[in-house]
Amino acid sequence: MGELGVNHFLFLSAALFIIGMMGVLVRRNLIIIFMCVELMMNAVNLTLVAFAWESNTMNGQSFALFTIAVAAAEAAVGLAIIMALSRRQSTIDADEIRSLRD
Amino acid sequence: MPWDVLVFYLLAAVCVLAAGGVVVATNPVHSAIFLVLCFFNVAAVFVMLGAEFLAAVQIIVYTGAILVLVLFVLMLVDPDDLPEFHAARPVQRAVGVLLGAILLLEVGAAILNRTVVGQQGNATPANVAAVGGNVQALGRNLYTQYLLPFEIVSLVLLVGVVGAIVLALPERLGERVGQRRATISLGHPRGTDVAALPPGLDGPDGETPVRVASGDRPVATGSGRREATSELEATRELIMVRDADERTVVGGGRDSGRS
Amino acid sequence: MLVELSNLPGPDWGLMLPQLAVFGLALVLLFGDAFMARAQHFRVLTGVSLVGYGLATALLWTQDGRNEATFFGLFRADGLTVFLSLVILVAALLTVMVSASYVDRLEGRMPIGEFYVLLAFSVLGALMVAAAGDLVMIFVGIELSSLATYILTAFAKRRLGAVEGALKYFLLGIFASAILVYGMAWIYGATGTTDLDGIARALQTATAGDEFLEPSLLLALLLTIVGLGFKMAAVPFHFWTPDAYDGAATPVTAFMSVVPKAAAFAATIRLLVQALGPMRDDWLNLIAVLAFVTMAFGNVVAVAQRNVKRMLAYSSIAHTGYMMVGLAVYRQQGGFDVGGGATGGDQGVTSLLYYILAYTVMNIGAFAVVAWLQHRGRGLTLDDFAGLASTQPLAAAAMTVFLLSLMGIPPTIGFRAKYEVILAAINADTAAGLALAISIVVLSAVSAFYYLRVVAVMYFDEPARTPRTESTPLLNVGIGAMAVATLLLGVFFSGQLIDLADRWSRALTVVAQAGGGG
Repeated sequence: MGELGVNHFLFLSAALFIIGMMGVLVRRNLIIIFMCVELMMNAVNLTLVAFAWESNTMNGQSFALFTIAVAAAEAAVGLAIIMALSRRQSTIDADEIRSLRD
Repeated sequence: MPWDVLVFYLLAAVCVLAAGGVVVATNPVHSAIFLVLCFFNVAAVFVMLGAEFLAAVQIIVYTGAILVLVLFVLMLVDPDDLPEFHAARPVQRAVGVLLGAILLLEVGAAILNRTVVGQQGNATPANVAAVGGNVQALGRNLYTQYLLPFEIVSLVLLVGVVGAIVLALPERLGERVGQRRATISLGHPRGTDVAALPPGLDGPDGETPVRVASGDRPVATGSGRREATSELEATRELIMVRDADERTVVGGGRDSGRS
Repeated sequence: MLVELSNLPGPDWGLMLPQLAVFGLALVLLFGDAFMARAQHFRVLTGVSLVGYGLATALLWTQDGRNEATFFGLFRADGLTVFLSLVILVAALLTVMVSASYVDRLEGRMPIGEFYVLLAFSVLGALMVAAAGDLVMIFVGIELSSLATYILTAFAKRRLGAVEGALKYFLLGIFASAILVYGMAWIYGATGTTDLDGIARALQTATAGDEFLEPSLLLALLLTIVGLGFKMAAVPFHFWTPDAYDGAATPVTAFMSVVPKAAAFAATIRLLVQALGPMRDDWLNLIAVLAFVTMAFGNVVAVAQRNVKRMLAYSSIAHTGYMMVGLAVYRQQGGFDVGGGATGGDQGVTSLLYYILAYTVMNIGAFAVVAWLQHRGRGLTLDDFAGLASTQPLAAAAMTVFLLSLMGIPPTIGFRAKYEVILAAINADTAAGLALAISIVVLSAVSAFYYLRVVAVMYFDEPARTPRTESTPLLNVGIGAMAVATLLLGVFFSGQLIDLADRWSRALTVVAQAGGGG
């Protein structure tokens, strides 16, 4: 145990990233998949801040701020696409979205 | 065990459990709330790492803006209207779990064996305190070295706004903008004469039905309601106002408003 | 880094004139759209877009031959910037020509003002990636470009397929972004900097010419290649490609088959060659395997397609594979191994850059003919191309030129580009290079099957019905220009263009000087 080192934070962020990634690969609900990507982005932020803390640079914190801003824009666009989709199809089969599949 | 390690383990445990909850929960709303819990704990971890400003941004932007947006969409969108992303066949689930396990091994190996080849920066806690704290230090970094990406991120947000308007605006509404946008005056006694409505006709979702030109309105779901609506259109005038000092009778053909 | 606030260098705006021109164009379009009567939209905004991109392309000469950086090294004007910006701006010009009448008339009259605005922002993001000197710039530029492209994909929102394709593209795109930025975080963690040259310098000091295996950097490499593989539609990260390409409006498909791909390749060259160049032994084989799988899969699956747009989507995956071959045979003839006096770039990357330019002209051309047919009430399947040569001989001739070029038949530009890539692969003098060169030749023969099938259907089948007449002057001019360019650029001017592409290596000379000192 002992001293709190950068590895603690790296393991935490890795756990969050991988949980999010498995969520994207396993879940079927679009909005849950979207939230899992947000979780991954947050894990990345944690990694960046942990590295910034370790190397005594501010760059990681600035990078994390950009990631957050980009995530906000992504949320707006993604949820707008989901709204457009739900408006376009009142009812749909789960198979219908895959009608175009190879 | 020092107290900060203890606090970290507590926060980390809640974080990981909440993240697991996001993935496992069957109800998307539960997922969103687990995510809020997780993000709050990550914000606390940011404070432990000396990133107070990011902790605040994390709470304001992630939980305050993004997740509220997600919750709004969850409430607005009927889950049955959404297609599912891909068929989660057992094979795919297994592949997902396998990939996660492989990545976990790789990341674990990388964390345990890593050596830093770069040099230390000068943003030591003492130096950060000397310029006034985390916010000042971040500001110096952001507005000097990262000025250009800072400007570009503003464009990213602008694109997000334009995109949200283009995609989420109903097409008919978009065509009508600029022609006639009437609003129902809730304050006007005759604009909200619900008493005149036949029983059970207070409109879908509690809205007062507004008579609009035929074909201009989305088809109501129940056939009974449609008939009743046309009956209503024949008998009832609804007063609508464009802005505070103008009144227009929709459908009546008479203009009782001041011009 | 805590910067001293006294004596801060101001930004050198003169260095980024083309990028500023595109930014100004986006603002003019945004305001013009808001304050103009609807009737004038189409002509005025199209004209403004054409003039804006033309101006930006002309302003590229101010960056030519320079190798400078501004904004604390985050914006770089060097040979790589100039060539990739040229590709992106040419693609933007051609997209405007292809899309103008389509957006205005088909798919229920999409809002043209917003269309051009988003196009301009996507182009600007790609330009910023091409000029990036920092991990943050790469990330932010890619996001600007991709976000605008997601929205453009969903633009024909009356069609369910468009929104579904956009959703698939969006979800996999942000998933890829998360993976990419996780990789960037690990690079930053290992080197303590986000500056591309700084990363290269730190790695060079650490490796000092020896065998070098740092696990965290290998992880970072893996994550960034996966993230960029999604963006450039390399197999096995291509799932979104067919649906998104098929669902989007045809001009958008033409655009997104080129500009996001060019941005992804720009990011890859900046990241792998410029920043992680010192550990190239670790990524060369990975890229080689991906290149082979990508071109094999794209070509084989394209054979089975009867929808021409879908066939072109798979063919674009195959072309991604050909381009990646150029990267896989990178071996640093110029650059910092020579020590500052770089005379010529690496042949592999040069051929990759030239291939992107060739691909831009011929691929947008092929999609333009598809859009041209859609204007005339035809669909997207092979049957809709039946007998085109007897009813519209010029369109059939143009399509034939584009398809032959995509296939790589002399004297087209596609042949010249493929020839350069194969030459680079053979000159690399490695077993992998030779194998890749042979597979390009074999798979080009496979591709002949599905490209020539379209040509055969156009020339030998009976027309099913006569198409309606429609006047699309700008589209016609665009198709004509692209057909002429596809035919002639392979023979004339190709030397100059390859020379221009070859200057990319000057992007590395800053490292050469710094690395030589340290």
